[in-house]
Amino acid sequence: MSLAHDDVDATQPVVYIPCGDETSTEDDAENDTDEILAEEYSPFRERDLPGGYVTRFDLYRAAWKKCFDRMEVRSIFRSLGARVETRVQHIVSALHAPLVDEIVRSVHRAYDDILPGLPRVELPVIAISGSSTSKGFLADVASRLETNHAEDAEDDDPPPGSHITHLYPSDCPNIMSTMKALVTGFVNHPPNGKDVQRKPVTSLASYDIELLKVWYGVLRDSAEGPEPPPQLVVFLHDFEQFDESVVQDMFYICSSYVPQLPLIVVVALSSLFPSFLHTTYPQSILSLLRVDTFTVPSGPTLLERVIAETFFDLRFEPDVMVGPAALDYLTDFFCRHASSVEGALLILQLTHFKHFDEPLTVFVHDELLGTSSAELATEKLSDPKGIAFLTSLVSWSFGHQELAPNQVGWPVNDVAGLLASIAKARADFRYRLRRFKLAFGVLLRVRKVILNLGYRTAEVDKTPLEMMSASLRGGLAREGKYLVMMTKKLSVEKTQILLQDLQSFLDELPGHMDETQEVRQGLAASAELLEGAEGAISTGVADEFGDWLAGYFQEHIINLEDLRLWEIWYTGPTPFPSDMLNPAPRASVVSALLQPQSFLPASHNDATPERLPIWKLPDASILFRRYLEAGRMINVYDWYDSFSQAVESQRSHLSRGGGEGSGADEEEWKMHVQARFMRALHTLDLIGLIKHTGRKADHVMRTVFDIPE
Amino acid sequence: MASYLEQLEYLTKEISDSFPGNDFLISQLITLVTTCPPTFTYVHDPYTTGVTASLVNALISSLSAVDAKSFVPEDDAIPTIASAQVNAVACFTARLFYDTTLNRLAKWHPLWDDGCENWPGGFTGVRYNDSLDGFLHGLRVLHAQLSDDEAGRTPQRSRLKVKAQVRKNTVKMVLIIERAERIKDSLPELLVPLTRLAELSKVDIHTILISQSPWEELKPLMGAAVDPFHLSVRPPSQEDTRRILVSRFPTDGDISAAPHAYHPALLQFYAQYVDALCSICAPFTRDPHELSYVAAAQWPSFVAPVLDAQRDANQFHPIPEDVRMRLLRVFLPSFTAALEALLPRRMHARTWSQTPDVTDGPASDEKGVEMTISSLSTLQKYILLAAFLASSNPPRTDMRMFARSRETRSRRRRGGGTRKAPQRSGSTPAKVPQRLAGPASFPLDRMSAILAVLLEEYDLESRVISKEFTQLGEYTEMELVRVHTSGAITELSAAHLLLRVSPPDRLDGPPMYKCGISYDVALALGRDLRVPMLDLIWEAG
Repeated sequence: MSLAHDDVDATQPVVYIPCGDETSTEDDAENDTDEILAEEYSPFRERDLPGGYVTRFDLYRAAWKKCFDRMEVRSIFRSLGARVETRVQHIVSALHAPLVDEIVRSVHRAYDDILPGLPRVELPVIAISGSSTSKGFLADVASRLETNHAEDAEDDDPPPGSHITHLYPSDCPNIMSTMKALVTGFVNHPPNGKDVQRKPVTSLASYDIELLKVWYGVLRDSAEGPEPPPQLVVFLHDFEQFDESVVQDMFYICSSYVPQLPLIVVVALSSLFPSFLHTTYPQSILSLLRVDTFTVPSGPTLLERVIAETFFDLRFEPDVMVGPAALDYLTDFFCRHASSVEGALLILQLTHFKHFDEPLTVFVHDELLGTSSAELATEKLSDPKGIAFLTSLVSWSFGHQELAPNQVGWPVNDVAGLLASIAKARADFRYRLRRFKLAFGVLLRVRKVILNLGYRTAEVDKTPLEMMSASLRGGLAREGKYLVMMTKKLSVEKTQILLQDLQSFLDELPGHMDETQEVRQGLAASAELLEGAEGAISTGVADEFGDWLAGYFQEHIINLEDLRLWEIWYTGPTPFPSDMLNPAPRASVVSALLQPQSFLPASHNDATPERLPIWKLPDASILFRRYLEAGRMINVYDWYDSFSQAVESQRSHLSRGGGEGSGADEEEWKMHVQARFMRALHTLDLIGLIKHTGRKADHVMRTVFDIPE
Repeated sequence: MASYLEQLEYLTKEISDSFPGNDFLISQLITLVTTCPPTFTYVHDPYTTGVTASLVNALISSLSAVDAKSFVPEDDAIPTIASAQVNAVACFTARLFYDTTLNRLAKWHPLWDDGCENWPGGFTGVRYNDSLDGFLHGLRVLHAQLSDDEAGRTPQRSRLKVKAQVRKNTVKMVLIIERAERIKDSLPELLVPLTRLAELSKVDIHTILISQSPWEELKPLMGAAVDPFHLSVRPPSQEDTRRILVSRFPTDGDISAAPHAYHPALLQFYAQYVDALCSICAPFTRDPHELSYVAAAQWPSFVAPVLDAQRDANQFHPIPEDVRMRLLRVFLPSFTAALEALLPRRMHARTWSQTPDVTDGPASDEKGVEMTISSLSTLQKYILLAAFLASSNPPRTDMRMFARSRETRSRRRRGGGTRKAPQRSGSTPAKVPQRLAGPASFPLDRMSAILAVLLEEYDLESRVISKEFTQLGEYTEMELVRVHTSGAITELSAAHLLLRVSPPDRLDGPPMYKCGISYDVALALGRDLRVPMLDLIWEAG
């Protein structure tokens, strides 16, 4: 069941760890899992379908996988001469491809065109900044380097082969282990296929770069034909984490062996600051290197491309459409915090995840409810246990705006009819969504043409991402009107250009789409008019086309929330759970200690007051409240005293009316209080709220001050 | 004998030609190595260590290439020299040092098929790299072996000892250690033995240490080490530098070739070019390495107009004097630009030589600023601004600059109070603005407070605030303690845009930081975020 395992690649940051054994086939085991899962987390338990949690979870996986596959992995058949080669291409890596090409080329040419007259041969260093924004990037570079022979067959000179070693900061605490990792990384692959046993004491040490030299000598001699000698590429991952002095020595040693050893160092800077090398390393080391800097493309354009090619692409139909709230959060997070593709994917994934909290989303794909046939589904829905679910479904399906005012009675009379009406709503939603996307595409295209024609005023003050989110809110009316106005003012030639461009836009889309028919008709009508028209009345054509466009936009760029049962397929204005991605741990811990009632399961469901009396609090909270009242240092004995008073009052509240215990009981009770005190104290200690200082006997120090209660 | 001396003289001249200005050092070294020297020499060169090291290497290896026997076959006095050059940085463990030294002295090249075995010393399975004793033993065996080879006899065990004794003096080993200052850190236990290696190993071995630091800094305490024979290298004069650079003109010497940038006919022009370059760059650097780097980077674009004029010629026409002068005058400003970009390696020589318009250099600085700014996220920009303000404003002014509550504002408006009499000029030195004095360090919570003010005043409108935050400033306060804010601070300090001055393992008290961006970058950031930085920076006085 784990996503990391069987579905998508293992590098993704969110994995689901199942709490039960999924593989067991016994029914009761299944049921146990269901129950546990449902108990774990279920915000809408009161109106959920029995077992709905697991069904929705499967649906979530399918929906996200569809979306993820679209974003990450896309197969493209590329014919290359006679052979057809299948390549896995990502939207993201398609964006990166030019840069990867450039880096690979500069690795290949690292020792080719050396400027004559330089005082020494420099060690080529390729610094890739911002590599952490996309983890696949370095892997792309490495795999391209490893398999370059097949790739660049069209070049005249075959590029040199590459041997690659990866170094990580954890392998390199000192120069000896660094050199060992570097040398053995290459030498462990014997050069001519046969490995030779080296003697531990009388052979060259495994961290001796001379060993690499010997190895390379054999490798170079064993290469046959006109192939250029192979290159040795060293990847330094997370370069900022490496110890500076170690890297300095490593660079020094390596540079004294070039060009006999054609070493090339690829430095992966995780941050986006290309000047890191220059601010960190001294000139004496930099002068040994020839640093080429590349920056991985990132920023809003990247995000824009990803979103435009998934949720706003007519060729792709996601199960769940992302709403403006999530989109806004995504944009904001991307610009404000971390412009990484992984982060964006994570947000989209969490959006999906959250969307499937809603019990009704069980209908996202079909109305089988996790069963195998419509009859079974009807039966399942007729189950009295799911009455709350059914009620909510009916009330959502036929809210007052859906019912025509003059209608009498229910539009459907049985469960099967209800399911059929859901299917109808889904088809309708999909249809409207496609038309919406098309209209949005047309709008962008018209804007682009008008911009290209030189009308700078068509430039709206919204970024493409903002336009997307505005369009989902139905808030592009002003922009649409403005474009229509501009269109009406176009001359004959320019109208012609616009029409042709729109025509080619439609032609680029897959032909079978019915939605394009309407646009095609509109275009054809205008084109016909244009052909027949003479100069005088030609402005009328632009006028007419503008009117048509206005009507078209108004009809199709709609607020998706007006559609029936939109909650199932559209996340709409649901806010993104931002605390999941960007939590404030200390603030959460403190507020949990101050107001445990809003975190603990509500056992007595009375209206939660602002501040509970102290005896109602858990032990750690009692201690914490006293902690806040104390000074800089806390006397532990006093603390214990006040705690035992609170516990005493708790006891008297709980056992009101009970008699006093005997002396032996009293002794036991004291032990009990002490134990509880110690446990609570250790809890606070573990959280880091207490600092032990030897300064004052029996005192501990506060670490948190100024808590607004 | 005479011919050997001639050979030495020839060699001296040759080395002097390729390393001009080092005649004294060369003659000293040759004398030292070829006669009966003190066994430990210390070459101290604070300026151009790299050049000196390659000089010594070239010298010793050409000396060892001289075949002593070809001159006076019967004379024992001419030693054959076996040399090893070792880099103290590369030999970071004792074992590595022993292996490298012995292999190089014995000219032994490990073979992959033999399992990369080290120099075996005539016996299999003996190791010389386990301790100093083993190493000394190895040196003795090696010396005997070399002497034996020298005698041209097959190493017959029975005679080995006798012969070795007879011809003992004919093999002389030289061990050169570069970057010797590193021995003190990486192999401190080897320093004393190295100074008295000949004494310990009882073979004729001469140790030369080359280092940037003076011997006094390396010298072990307690006087355990022998005092070396000192050789100091003076800084190269401008004339020497010039000669070095000219001697490195990378020409193939084919005078009949079609014109290209490294045509031998251009040598004289190159000398003029180097003259101009040296005179401009002399105040900044005299390192021949650096100067030749700049020269190599600049030359292709410098000579391009000349080559353009002669594109179709198959022979090189001499360049008229006025053209040269004009060219030099046009390129003069670009020399400094090149130096500014190339010396700190903000650009490397190849890119520089390919950049079409090299005459306007200073633009690169602004480009760097732009690059840095564009790669930052919004929050990081705010953090940097806050850090800059915390670093440049004195803490006591924070209340006045940033406090935003009503009563402080009114208090400020009221102002007045007792005004101090202006101090007489001359009694105290004029106050230097903080931005000229460098960034001051500040605790993290002070920066957070300033960051909160900045976010609250300039960023709040652009945010969508959920309804749960009802109080004024509550949202921003929450924002400050979020994971991504701390993450951004850590990331900035990893990138050295914020400098952490307190040790990372200190948990006591807030961590201290310094700002790592310059005044210009801060102003540019302020413009980017529409924060009026000039109003927020406290100007003293």
